[in-house]
Amino acid sequence: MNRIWTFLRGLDWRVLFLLPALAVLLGIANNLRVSPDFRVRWSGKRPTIVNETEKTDEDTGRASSGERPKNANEAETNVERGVWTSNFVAATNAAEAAHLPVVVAALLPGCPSCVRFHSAIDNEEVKAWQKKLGWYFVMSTSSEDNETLDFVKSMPIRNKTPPYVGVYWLRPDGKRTMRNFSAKSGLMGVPAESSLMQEWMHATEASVPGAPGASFVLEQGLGVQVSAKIESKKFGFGRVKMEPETDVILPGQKVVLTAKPNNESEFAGWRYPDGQIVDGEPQLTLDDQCQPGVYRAIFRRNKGNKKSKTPKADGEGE
Amino acid sequence: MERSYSWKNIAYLCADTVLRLGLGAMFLYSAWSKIQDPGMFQTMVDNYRMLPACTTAIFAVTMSMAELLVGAMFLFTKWTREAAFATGVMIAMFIVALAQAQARGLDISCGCFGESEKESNELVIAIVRDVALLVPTVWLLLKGQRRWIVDFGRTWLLERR
Repeated sequence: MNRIWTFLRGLDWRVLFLLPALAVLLGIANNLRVSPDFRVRWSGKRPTIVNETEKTDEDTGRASSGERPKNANEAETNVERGVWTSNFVAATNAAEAAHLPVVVAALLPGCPSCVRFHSAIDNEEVKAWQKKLGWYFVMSTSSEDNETLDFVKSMPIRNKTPPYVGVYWLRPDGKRTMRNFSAKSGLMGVPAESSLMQEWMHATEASVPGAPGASFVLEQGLGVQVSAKIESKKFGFGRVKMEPETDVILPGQKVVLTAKPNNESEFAGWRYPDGQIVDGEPQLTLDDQCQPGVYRAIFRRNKGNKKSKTPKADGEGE
Repeated sequence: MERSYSWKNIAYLCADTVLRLGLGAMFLYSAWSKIQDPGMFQTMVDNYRMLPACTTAIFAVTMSMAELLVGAMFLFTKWTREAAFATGVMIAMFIVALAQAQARGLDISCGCFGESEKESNELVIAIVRDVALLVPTVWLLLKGQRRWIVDFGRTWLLERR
């Protein structure tokens, strides 16, 4: 014991204490240095799961369209476009259902099981899908995946002969970048709207007459990703339920969101991802053409209910 | 007083130099890709489902820089033992993280060197690799010399009496 103690005392502990402190500072500085697309998510929020309740004002009544009604509480669910790659089978099924000649794979950060397919070229399962469907499905979570990159480079995009491969990174905020082509090809961080990407998309689109192009694939072809977990936690005024519970809305499928107010409130409408507020039934039907984003059910206090005067009913939430 | 070269000292010096070069270069390489893309590294950390989501960001930015600093310490400073101590702590953390991921059956990429690897049992490979890395780390911790890596002076070579 004495020897260990003596040994430890022989170390320069100033250095060992300085090391993590310096690492934190340099790490934060480095995070600010890199492009916003590559920065960490300080919120720490895992993607796709939305779980929040907004506080509200005391006043009652509804605001005009596009504004949030006052004295209302909202329960919400999250809808995102793209492929939920944690469910590889669902993604491939979605692509198959859409009869896509082109597949653009999208990855969601935080997906625990998708990374196995990062170098899917040599993956037998993926090869089988490729053979069956006639397209490649390549994903990468790496920004410097040389194997994927070489494979993509070898694809006959310029010859306009399918199949084509693209690897997207779909961030939680909905931003898309080509980061997975990335470093070596000089395409790192190229946004989907860039001329380079547009050229690539057009080349893809033009290659298959009448077929959806890459942009279509990206936007619509693979269905709509719905929040993998339905938020069932009780909100201040009510809750939203999704039926059927599904990871992906395939083309032709429908998902019904049902807003259920509690005893102290009543349903007041839906707020769409673009901010538009729509009156209507507590049931909202979504299909693969729906807006991606957060759908919020708006509940407002039931005036006739005395209990609703409690702070909780005023939208403090639980 | 005449002093002779000690082969034992020469061997220690060579081992010390080689191991420091190896570990230092490895940590610099490992840190580099993570530094280029902290968001990606955070995702990899997140995939381990070990840390609370709110802590993965600070862990990701810190760990990548810690690796860089430790690599630099091995190569460019005299603090060999301190670097080895920090390396040992980090490797122990990596082993725990990898082992829990393997035990829980998480289908994730190691993320050890930023980019993903394609082996199906890469977590096991990573654990074995990390355990193997502990050997030179412990050696440097116990036997490492407080000298510049390019210092091959007589002080280190001569037999001590």
